[in-house]
Parts: sequence; structure tokens; C-alpha cells
Amino acid sequence: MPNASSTDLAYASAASLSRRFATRDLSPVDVVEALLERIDAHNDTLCAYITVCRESALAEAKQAESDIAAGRAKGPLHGIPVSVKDICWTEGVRTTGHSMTFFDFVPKEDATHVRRLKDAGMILLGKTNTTEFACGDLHLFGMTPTPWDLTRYSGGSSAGSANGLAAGLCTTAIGTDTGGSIRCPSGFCGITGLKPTFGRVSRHGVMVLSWSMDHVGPMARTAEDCALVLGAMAGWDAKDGTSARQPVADYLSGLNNGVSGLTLGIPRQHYFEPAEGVDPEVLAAAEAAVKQLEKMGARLQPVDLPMAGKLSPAGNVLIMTEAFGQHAERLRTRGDEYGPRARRRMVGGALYTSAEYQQASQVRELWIRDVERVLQAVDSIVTPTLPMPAFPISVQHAGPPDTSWGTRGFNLSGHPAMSLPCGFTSQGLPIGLQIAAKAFDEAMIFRVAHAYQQATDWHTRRPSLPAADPARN
Amino acid sequence: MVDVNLDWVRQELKNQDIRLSEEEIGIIRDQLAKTKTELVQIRPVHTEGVEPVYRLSPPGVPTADRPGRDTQDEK
Repeated sequence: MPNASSTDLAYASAASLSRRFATRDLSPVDVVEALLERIDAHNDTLCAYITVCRESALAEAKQAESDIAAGRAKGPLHGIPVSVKDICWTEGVRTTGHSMTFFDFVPKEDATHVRRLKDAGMILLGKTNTTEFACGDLHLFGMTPTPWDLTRYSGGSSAGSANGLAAGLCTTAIGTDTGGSIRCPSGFCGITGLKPTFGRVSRHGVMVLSWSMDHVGPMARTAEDCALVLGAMAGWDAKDGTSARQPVADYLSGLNNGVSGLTLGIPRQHYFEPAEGVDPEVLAAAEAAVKQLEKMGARLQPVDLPMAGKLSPAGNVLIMTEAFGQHAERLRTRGDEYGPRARRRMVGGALYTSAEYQQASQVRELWIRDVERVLQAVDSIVTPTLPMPAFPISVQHAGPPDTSWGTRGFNLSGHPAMSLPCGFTSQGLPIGLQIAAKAFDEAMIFRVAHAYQQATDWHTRRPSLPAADPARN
Repeated sequence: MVDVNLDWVRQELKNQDIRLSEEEIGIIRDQLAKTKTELVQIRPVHTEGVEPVYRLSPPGVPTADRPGRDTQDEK
């Protein structure tokens, strides 16, 4: 029997669980049972999961336990649970996209990244809540609050992956990110999430929102766990014409190299400028994080990204034009089954002109040049993830502010970027720090983020959930 | 502010065989006007003469090495 409370197991990192599985100090069954217990206690409140794979997860955990005991361990992720956003196909498990039009859709195959995670021995724990098609409402399966304040929104669209991780309802998770949908909820919920380089992770089997902006990536509570998961899911895929042939790096080998000697680019314009809608506490926390990294030996270098504040219309035109292209036929025949937000946003995409699409593409080209120029001089770019902490759910219903303020740039450019917690507001809401790097240099992001998480404890803090939680702390 | 004519929106949606309520058409028109205006505001300064990126590829990857369907791999 495990010598730890079930809450500690539910919050344990994949890396630490893996070490304990290897020594047979702990079984994957114990972990899955601990997570199911917390899902039973909190999913009605958090709406993190649309589908929980209770029986199959327990069966897979038992199989993993016996395989590991028999010396047939597949690697460090064998027996580790993963929860997958419900726009990613899972063989034999309903995949709704949070849409009435896919309400009973059961894929006959896994998305490529899901298949790879299963091949690495991971256990599919369930399908996590998402806004409709990653761009609309949460009207079918419940609103997802941040566990830090149940009156406030978790952020989206990888909403259930983020609030589930923050509440200890999953060990690792998968999200997708078209304008910030991994990093924004990571910021609002105080967890760690990576949008990899465009082309690094196959998108075959992922419901498309915007073919040129969609990314699939890992979410966890530590950078180390994100590195473990990315290593298993990355790589070229013949089924995805945009996947890249670059070899997959060993993301763990440089994890402990620290930041001493690294140069971090700090873009003062836009990202660190006081402005309407930018919370001073967010800027203060990001400044403090940057100073912490400097104290740890990094060199800070101001960098210039003049286009940063001008990317919103380009991002909107590209995403919504492409989304309409993807959904046009379905909107014609089943448009009344879409929620209002997804329907309006996608239909709006039909009404941009080719000239506007071209101009948005020109903006993207200029922005890529800017980011490439800066990254020739620095190892990484550091910014706040979001301009504000989690806002009230009522604001999300009425019309949310621009949450992609800090994130959309790296969807447009395709560079990898991570959000990790770097502090809390005076109201106890988490604040996210964004770290970006050169194309295919996710290892640099993991190195910087891991060093920061070794020096700080923001990522280890747990929200206090309602009294029904037996593990409240 | 770019003027997005409500009748044009109605006609375009009709051409696309998209059926929406008048309220939704109004909301979409307002959102379009906002985005189109923001786009116009950055045009003269920044994008004149720039070759657009239509086929996005991983940044920093030479064009010849950019990913795409490889017919050899599909055989």
C-alpha cells in the first residue's frame, strides 16, 4: 500500500510516480484510484471531464502494474495517467468537441499523438472539457471555474485539462493551442503548459479550428513532466502534412543545466507596458520572475518586438477565415446546433476578403521576421502570459477581454512557448510567465522553466477546494 | 471605423446559404467592423510590399526543408 495520502498521489508529478513505479514502491492502480476519487468529489463543481474512462483506466493500470513487475516497463511514462482534450480522437471513446454535432461521435482510431502516448504506456484517464470546437461556449458540459476561485473562469479552450491539473484530477494532460488555448488556462489555473513549435506534434486526429495556427501540446504541473510527455508525442507523421522531419530532441538531458550564462530577451514594448486592461500585479510578478532568473545567473537583454501589439486583427482574420473554411458545410446544414459564440465567430470568417486574408498573412510574415531576429541574439524570450488573472465567469458570459494578448504571437510565428506559474495576486489568483524560444528548441524552454521551478514553489501550491474535499489543505 | 453594410452581410450569408437571426447578423457585423478597422490601421505603415506567408511552416526552417506531404512516404 502507498505510504502517502491519496491527495498527495493525485498531485504527484509524473516523474516522481515513475521513479516509484520502477522501485515497486507504488502501483499505477493506486494513482488511478486516487485520481478517480478526486474526480468523484470535484468534477460536478469543476466540470473538468466530459468523459471519465473509469473501467478501462483501472484495467490499464492493473496491466501496467503487472508489466512493470515483470520487467516489461516501456519507459518513464508507463503507467502514468493522461487526460486528453475532447477535440482529440480517442479510439472507442466518445470525442465530442463540446458540440451537439459530435455528441455521439466515437472515433475508430486515435489521434497520432494519443496513439504515441499509449504506445509509451500512458493510461487514458478521460476526456477533458473544452470550449465548443476550441473557440465557442461551454454550453453542453458545464462551465469550468479555476479551482483558485470557483466564481472565476478557468480560461480556455483547454479548460478541463488546466483546471483538472490544478485540482489534482489528473497527472498530465493534453491541450491544443490556436491563440493561447494551452497557455491561457495554464496561467489562470496556475499550472504548466507548452505550445510546441508548429510541426513538432502531429495534428492528425485533432478537430481542426485553424490549420495554420493549431498546435497540440502537453500540460502538467511541472516543466519536467511536460518534457517527458512531449518526448513521447513529438515527431514526424505521414498523416499530417504540416508535421516536421526534425529529429525529436532528448528533452530531459539538459533539464538541469540551469540558466547561468543564458541570455533572456525581455520585450518591454506591449508585454511589460502598463496599459488599460493590464493588471499591475501581473506585471510586478513577471518582473520579479525575470529578476529571479537574473539572480540565478541569466543575463537579461531588452529586445524590440514593435509588432507585438498589432497582432490581434491578423490573428482573428486568419483563425476565423480558416475556421469557416473547415466548418462551412456543417454550418450550412447544422448551424442551429452550434452554440452562439462558435457560430458567430466562424460565420464571421466567411466575410473577410481575400485582400484581408493576404494582409493578415503579411503581418504574420513581418512578425516571424521580428521574432527570428530577436532569437538570433537571445536564448529565450520571457513575457507575462496574460494581462490579467482569472476574471469572473459572468465576464466570460458577457464578452471576455482579449486573453490572447501575450500568446497569439507565437501561434502566428510558430515558435514554441510555455506558461508556468510565477506568483499570485493579492486575491490569491495565479499569474503565468511565458517563455518562448527558437523553433524546435523546446529543450531551452524546459531548461529555463525547470531551473525556475527548482528555485520557486509557485507550481507546488494547491487550491483550497470546497469542504467535501477530504484532502483540503 | 470601416463601414460594414448590414445588407451586404445579409446578402453574403444568403449567398453562402447560412441562416442566422437578425440579432446575430448585427453582432457579426459589429465584430467585423472592429477587426477590419484594426487591420486597416496597420496596413500603410507595416505591410506594403511584404510577401505574405500562405503556407505556414515551422519558423527558421529553410523553404526547401519545410514539411509537407512527401509522395515517397505515401507510397
